[in-house]
Amino acid sequence: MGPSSLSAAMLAVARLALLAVFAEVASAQVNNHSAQVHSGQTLPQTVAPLIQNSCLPCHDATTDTDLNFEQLGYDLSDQQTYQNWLAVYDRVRSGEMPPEPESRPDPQTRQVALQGLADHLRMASRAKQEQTGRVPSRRLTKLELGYTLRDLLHIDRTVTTAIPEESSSGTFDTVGIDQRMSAVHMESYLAAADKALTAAIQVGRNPKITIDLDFAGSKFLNEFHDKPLELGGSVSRRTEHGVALFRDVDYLLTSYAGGAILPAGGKYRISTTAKAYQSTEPITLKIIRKETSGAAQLLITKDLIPGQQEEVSLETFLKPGDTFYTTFAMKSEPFPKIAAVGVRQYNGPGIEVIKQNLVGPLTDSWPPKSTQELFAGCDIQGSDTGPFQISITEAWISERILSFCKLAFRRPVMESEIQTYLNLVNHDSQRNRLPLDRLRLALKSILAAPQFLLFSDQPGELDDHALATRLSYFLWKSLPDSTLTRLANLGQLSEPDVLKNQVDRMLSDPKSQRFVKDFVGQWLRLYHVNATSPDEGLYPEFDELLGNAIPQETEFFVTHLIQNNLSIMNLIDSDFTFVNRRLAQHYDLPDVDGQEFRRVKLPAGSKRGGILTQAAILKTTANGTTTSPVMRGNFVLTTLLGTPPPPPPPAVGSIEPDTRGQTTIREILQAHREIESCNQCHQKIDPPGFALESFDPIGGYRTHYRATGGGLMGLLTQQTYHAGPAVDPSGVTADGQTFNGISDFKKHLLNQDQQIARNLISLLVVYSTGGEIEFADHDEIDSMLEQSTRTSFGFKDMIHAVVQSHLFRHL
Amino acid sequence: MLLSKVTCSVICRHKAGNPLMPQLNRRTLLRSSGVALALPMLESMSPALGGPTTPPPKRMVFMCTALGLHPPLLWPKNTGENYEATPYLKLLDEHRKDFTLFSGLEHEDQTGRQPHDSEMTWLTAARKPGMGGFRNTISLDQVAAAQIGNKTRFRSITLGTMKAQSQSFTNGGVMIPAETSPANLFAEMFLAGKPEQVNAQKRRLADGKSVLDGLLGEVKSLRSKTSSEDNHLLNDYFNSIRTAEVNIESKRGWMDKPKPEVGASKPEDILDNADLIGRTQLLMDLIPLIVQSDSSRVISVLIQDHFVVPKVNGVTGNHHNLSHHGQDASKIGQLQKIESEILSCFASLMSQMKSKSESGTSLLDQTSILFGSNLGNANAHHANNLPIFLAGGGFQHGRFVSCEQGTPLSNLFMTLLDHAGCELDSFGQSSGSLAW
Repeated sequence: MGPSSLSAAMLAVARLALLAVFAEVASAQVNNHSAQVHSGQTLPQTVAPLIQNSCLPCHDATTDTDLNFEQLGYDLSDQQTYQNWLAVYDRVRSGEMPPEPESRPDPQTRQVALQGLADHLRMASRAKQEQTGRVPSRRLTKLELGYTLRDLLHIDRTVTTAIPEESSSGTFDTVGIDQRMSAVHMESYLAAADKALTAAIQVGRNPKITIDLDFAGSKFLNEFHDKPLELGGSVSRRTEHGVALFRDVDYLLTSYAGGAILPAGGKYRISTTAKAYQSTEPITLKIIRKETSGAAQLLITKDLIPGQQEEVSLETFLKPGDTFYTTFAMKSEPFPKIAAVGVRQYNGPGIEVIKQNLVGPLTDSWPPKSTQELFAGCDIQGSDTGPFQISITEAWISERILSFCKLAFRRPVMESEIQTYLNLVNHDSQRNRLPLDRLRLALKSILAAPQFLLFSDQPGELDDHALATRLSYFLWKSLPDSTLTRLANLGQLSEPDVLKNQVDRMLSDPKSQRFVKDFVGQWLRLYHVNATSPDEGLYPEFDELLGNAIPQETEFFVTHLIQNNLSIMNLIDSDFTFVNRRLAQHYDLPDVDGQEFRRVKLPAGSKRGGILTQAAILKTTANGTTTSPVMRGNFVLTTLLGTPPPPPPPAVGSIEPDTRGQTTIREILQAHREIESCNQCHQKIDPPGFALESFDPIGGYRTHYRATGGGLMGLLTQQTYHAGPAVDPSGVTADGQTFNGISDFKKHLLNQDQQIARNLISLLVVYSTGGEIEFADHDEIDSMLEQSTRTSFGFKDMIHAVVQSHLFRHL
Repeated sequence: MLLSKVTCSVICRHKAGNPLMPQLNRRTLLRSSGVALALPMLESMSPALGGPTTPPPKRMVFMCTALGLHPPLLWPKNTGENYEATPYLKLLDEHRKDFTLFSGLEHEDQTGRQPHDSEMTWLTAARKPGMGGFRNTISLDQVAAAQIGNKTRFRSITLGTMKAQSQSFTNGGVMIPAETSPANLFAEMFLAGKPEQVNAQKRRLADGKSVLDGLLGEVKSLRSKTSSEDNHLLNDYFNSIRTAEVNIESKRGWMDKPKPEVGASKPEDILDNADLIGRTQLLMDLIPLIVQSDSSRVISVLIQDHFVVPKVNGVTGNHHNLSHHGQDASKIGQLQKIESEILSCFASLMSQMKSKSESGTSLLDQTSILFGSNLGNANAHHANNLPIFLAGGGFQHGRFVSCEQGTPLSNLFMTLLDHAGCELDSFGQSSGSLAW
């Protein structure tokens, strides 16, 4: 120890003495005001000894850490100070602090300090919640606004595409504290309101068309049948009943070639009669929608069984400019053979489209329901050739604005509250305009009003309307329906039995799919499942059908757990899953025909079961080319257990993948783990990832890594990859238990059922209320966990428990 | 108010005459003189009108290729003026005297929730993108737009090659959606609408103003009832309305001024996502028109991952997957083909900016073009030692400048802001400005 550090040590001793004096004084204060939130600068007697003995030596003004106990103070009503003490509590409690080489604190001192801290933090957290509520402000998300406009105006399209995406803040987009609003939002809200009203108000002629697409007589197609291969022709031909297609292309059997041009946006039905052609195996028909921007969407897949003529019908939203085309999932390139024999003699597999018919826009009536509902009470005159005349009186406009506000604001509205909108209608500048245009301006304004876009409630227990709103945005991502509103008006919704019945009703409504998709989309990051596309050379088997099937498995699976109230431990391991033929092939599961998803029992000894072995999760946690145990391990710790590892130190980059087949990711990681500071976290992060190494970036099971290039044999077989080093899926958990692969590892995970259930309960609370879990909430999470344990972790029971909880029912 | 400033500067320059008359009636001038349309727009006009000559304004272009540039093909071995051109730098050799390449620059703490999250922070320098509690901060282009954007029809222009994702963020950390259609932007910027369209647009703006006025009243009354300190969204809402009102006023003001004519025809959008290079090139062709017509002085461009195999000769892999080449030589070869094309787009932008001039200097001399990436090594997602080019702007160029590893990119940002006459004490992790 040099002279300078010696004097530093002496200084530290002096400071400790000073702090001790403060603590003495503080203890007196604590006893006098024990019910109040701490607002002083000095430490309470319970906490001071631990800080002095175990924390201050590293966390004072002279050391280079983010935390300085000499400056921190103990004013827990200050948010930053509160957050710092919360972090202190968490780290000491978990044993992370003081770190390993330092001496352990005296257990008694530690226990007393933790208890003291917990009491004070809880008190401070409660005080804040009583004052402002857990969720003082929150707005509709982009998704919620889209569904709200659809349901409120009875329109069948999404008008919110131009609204900014919700920003990525590491939690659900429903969390108010992370939500922002800017002029970019405001301008896009107004534009969305305009679009929604344009879609809703239809007073022109009925644009409905019924068209039989004419492929056989299409000049365009008839030219292409005989064009040379290199010009894109010779992959189709006329048949006795229609047209046959032999190659998966997007430019032949198009709605455009068939002569269908869309007169207006709306919901359309496309009916197709087709057959597997010259095939002994099922052929998968695909119909794809294309936008003018080039974006494409797979509308349907259907297995055509040889020898059977099938009618495939689907309904979809189409807008002017959209086209659609019919094709099939091609198994091999027909070029060589067609080049040899010509397309007229070609006898390879394809599809034959016999008939295709387009009907739409599909509406129950004309003018459509959206217009009739909006102008309910007005006389509407006209015929299908349009235009319709709507007789609008001034008195009706006022009434309509009031009733519209009630729906839009999701609560009773007083007449005084609609003055702004009446003023707009009656403003001088509007004098020469049609009543319809004036009303429209008021409605547009309501659809951008703060009362519509923001959830604004008072601290304390939610009233029945606010409860209906919270519930409805939780399970339907939209505003309450007439039943919920009626129960709220009667003041009955808050009765536990009524509330429970409503949750059951809402979950059995198809609108609850919005919740499932959004919840897993964000929680399991399914929204990002297609953020990377697999390497074509390493994973040539990845095709559109598989890409389309992958996220559906997880959505069906989670829906099934909720609907049947199955244990959430099925998320870790289950003896069933959901597949269609393409996914079954990917998983090597026998006897699954057709592209429809169904529940299948997994064979004994299957590696699959639970969500970790579902392709959606395995793909989302890989980069398309390689897998990383760090990414997947982090996923298990963060997403399933709710115990995220701390982020790596800033200077540390990620691992550089090597697909030449020389080193495995494990070997690269091993070097990493020999450094103690890395190993502290990686001993926890890596093991789940090691267990999942048996699965490649597209979720296929593997015993060997794939390496790029087919090698010498590849020249002959056209194989684009070769087998690399063997996969080693074994490992040792952080607490020293060994496992030999994923099935073994799942058993270790199942031992952590309390942590898994606590995490899911917390997530449901955060997602549904829009507020992060705070210290004051822990007791109630504990009691929900007990309840869930008693009810065998049923998923639906868990949702009921959340909805009935104090947390859900208070702001 | 934005509009009043614009009008004021016009009044100052034209002591007599109608202040609402546009400063330069370029269209008439060009027609009567019979000069080819390619004539530089501002040059020779100020003297003709007899006003005091104002120096041409400073402009800034920020352009990022989100999947990086393969380091071994980029970095020269020796620094200074006589650096030996690497395969990538050879593509820019024609412009060697017009740009500087920097190494060693980075933003701190860029390990994000997802490995590509540093895309969000290239122009903002915010730490830990996407991690718990992350909120982005204002981007460099928007800092500049707030100070020099009020002189032009568009405060700033945000462009993307494929989707609305951009690197421009408001001071509240909200992403400004990118325009991906050069045709739409061209029409909005340079084409006068039909009279009925113009009238309808005026009506819409007037309606928009009425709606916003009403909503402003609503939010004021709500704010008086609740503790606005706790309700940050009510504050956001209030500010959104105020800004939207300013924007509408500005638009209404510009409605009365004729749109500039640039002597180019409306570009045709490329619908094919796979044509990454074609789409990028369209943006490179548009930028000189924006600058030349002084339609905006701040432009950001994000060259995105298109998730498909790009149409580049000899490329069979998708761009992102090739960036994870895993040291496979054939993949690196393909990656090089794509990145070379992107660099050629950058070269084309420099050429076009050099060939057009105003007030005796080239557009490039007046425009700082920052080109680079948020990833230093995309194979490993490293966000340090970023490839950063600075072209034009009147800076001293021609060198490869090797900064100490870990030098804040924000220091270069400070240099750019200062150069454009924008005032700011610090940005991101800046510790000063960068001199070379």
